[in-house]
Amino acid sequence: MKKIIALVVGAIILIAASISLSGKENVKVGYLLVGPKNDGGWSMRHEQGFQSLTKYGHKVSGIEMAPEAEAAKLLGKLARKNDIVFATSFGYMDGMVKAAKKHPDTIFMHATGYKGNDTNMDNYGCMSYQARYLTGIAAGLMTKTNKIGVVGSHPIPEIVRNINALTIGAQSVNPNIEVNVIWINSWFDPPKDMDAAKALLDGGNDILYTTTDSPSVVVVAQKAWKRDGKEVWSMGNDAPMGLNGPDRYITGMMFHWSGVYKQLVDEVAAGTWKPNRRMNLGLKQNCVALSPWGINVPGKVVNTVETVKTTWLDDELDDFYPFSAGVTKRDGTKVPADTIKRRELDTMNYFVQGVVGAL
Amino acid sequence: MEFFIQILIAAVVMGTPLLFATLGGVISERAGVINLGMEGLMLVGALVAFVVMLNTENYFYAVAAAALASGLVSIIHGVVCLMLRASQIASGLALTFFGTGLSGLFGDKLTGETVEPLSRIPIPGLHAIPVLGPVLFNHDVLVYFSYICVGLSWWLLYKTRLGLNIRSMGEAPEVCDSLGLSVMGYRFFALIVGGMLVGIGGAYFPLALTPFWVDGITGGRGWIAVALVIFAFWDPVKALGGAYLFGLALALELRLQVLGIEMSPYFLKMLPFVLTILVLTLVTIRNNRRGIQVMPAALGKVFFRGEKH
Repeated sequence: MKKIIALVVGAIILIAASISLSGKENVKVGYLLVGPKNDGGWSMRHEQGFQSLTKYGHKVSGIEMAPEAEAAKLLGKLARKNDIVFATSFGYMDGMVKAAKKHPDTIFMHATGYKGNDTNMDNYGCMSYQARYLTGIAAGLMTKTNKIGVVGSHPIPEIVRNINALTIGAQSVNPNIEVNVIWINSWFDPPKDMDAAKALLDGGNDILYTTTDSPSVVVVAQKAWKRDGKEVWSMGNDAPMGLNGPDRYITGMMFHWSGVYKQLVDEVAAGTWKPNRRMNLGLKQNCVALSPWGINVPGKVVNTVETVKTTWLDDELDDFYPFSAGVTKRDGTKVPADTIKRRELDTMNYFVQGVVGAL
Repeated sequence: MEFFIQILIAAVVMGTPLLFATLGGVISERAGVINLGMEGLMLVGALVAFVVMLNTENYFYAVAAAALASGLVSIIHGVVCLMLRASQIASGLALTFFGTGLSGLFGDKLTGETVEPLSRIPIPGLHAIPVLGPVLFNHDVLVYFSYICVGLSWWLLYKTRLGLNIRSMGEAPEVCDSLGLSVMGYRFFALIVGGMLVGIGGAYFPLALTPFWVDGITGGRGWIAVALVIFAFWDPVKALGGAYLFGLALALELRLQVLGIEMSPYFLKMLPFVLTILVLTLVTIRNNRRGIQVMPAALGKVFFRGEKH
């Protein structure tokens, strides 16, 4: 009898051990969003990515509109309850480094930054400049004033290289392009967004871009056309924004985070997650894409852009294109081909020729 | 020159919601009730205006509903700090968080919806005046209504018996009480009227500035209005100047960049608040020398009937 009990107990211990070794079936995921989860842009795309995990039985819990200054505290709070914690804004970076040190048993993933450690923190990002470059081609083909306006959020490397990418894209089909940038120094301030868009409009820009998290420029372009008959077009940011101004919408860069998040959480479940990978995904991995074309965009423009996109998907263009082809800085210095790699992109702090605006 | 005028036009547009909110704050604080809940009231006004506009496509209904809703929410503040005599500061702050949450909760489903913004109606004759015409007389009706509200508030506060009584409530409620005036009644009145104006300020966001719904649509302008009430020394006419000055700071931040003038955005962002502290300090020093008291003496003080002060 004793032997049987011992056997049963042993079997139970073995099964339990093997379960815990093979990781967890249901991963608990925590995350920080910088804006409201329904901002219609950046934060909404992340929220949708995280929510898609619930289909696979994972538990997700997030904090929206989390102040960047409180990142360390909030991430610590999430770390106590979750297996993996994501922070989805550049400004959370240093807070996450601190939190990761304090909570060695939780895995930390930081979006759009460049810091990590050797045990439990890594970063990930999307090569959004690839899609920006493509939208730039469309903008270059469609502008009549040769002036493109950008409502800029914060002058950080990711935004700077996106503006450079769209400028190079536009110049590739129209060498006379001037790109005007107004910084609003906020990710989310709708009234200021609108005012900046109007200021760009007053300045003669007929294609409006935004790098902030709300669809202001799309609305401004639609109204300017409907009300004042102005020939203005808009580009979306982060999410499909065509519904906010269907008649004057061209396309836009947009994110798909669900694939990245599923992969990372599956790794945590399987116990195979590793640091020091600095995942960087682009058009080919479908992390970044073009949002659906506007109804009034000429077919020729769509064809031209989609053709370039296909060459990219077919591996004829490398991951760092257009920067890998070399660029000319605003001050005239030339950066030769094949010198701009991940590190140079992560720290890009100069505008290319053709961009007008403070930096 | 054209560029200069554009900046001034933007300053008026950006200043208009601030002006409504500041007038509302002035009226309630003149009666002795501090309202730190302005950001919340603005958000409630903005949400209600947007919803009503979406369903009725009638600007008048939208503005009226916003005023009504914010007026109603102000009653909560009144009940807590006038009837139950809790701290006005705490109640006001709670009101802000309440309004922020409420607008987020009910606005959740509205994200992405758009409305037709108010159109500009140039005032015949006046809009042709150089500089002043385009800057002041080529706007939407709510901007004109804000001019009227400045005049009305001034007239109400300084030219009517009602206004005198309201101001007295903020200076010496115990005296008013001994004269048989209802302190609670007048303070409630001022608080609700003030709240309605703040709500109209909130309505200006979805009806004119950002004709779509996003959470946190006011971008924290309610807090600027809190500072503006002090900056304007509880005076409706000074509120006009203050609101446009702050509007100018908001407009400049973007347009200086177009001119290629580099100025730290953080400096411009803090400018309204620095100005408020500066003006408050300077004017208070001057007034102390002359023995003038500008701040309503009983502002924020809980009034207990029959208690000696």
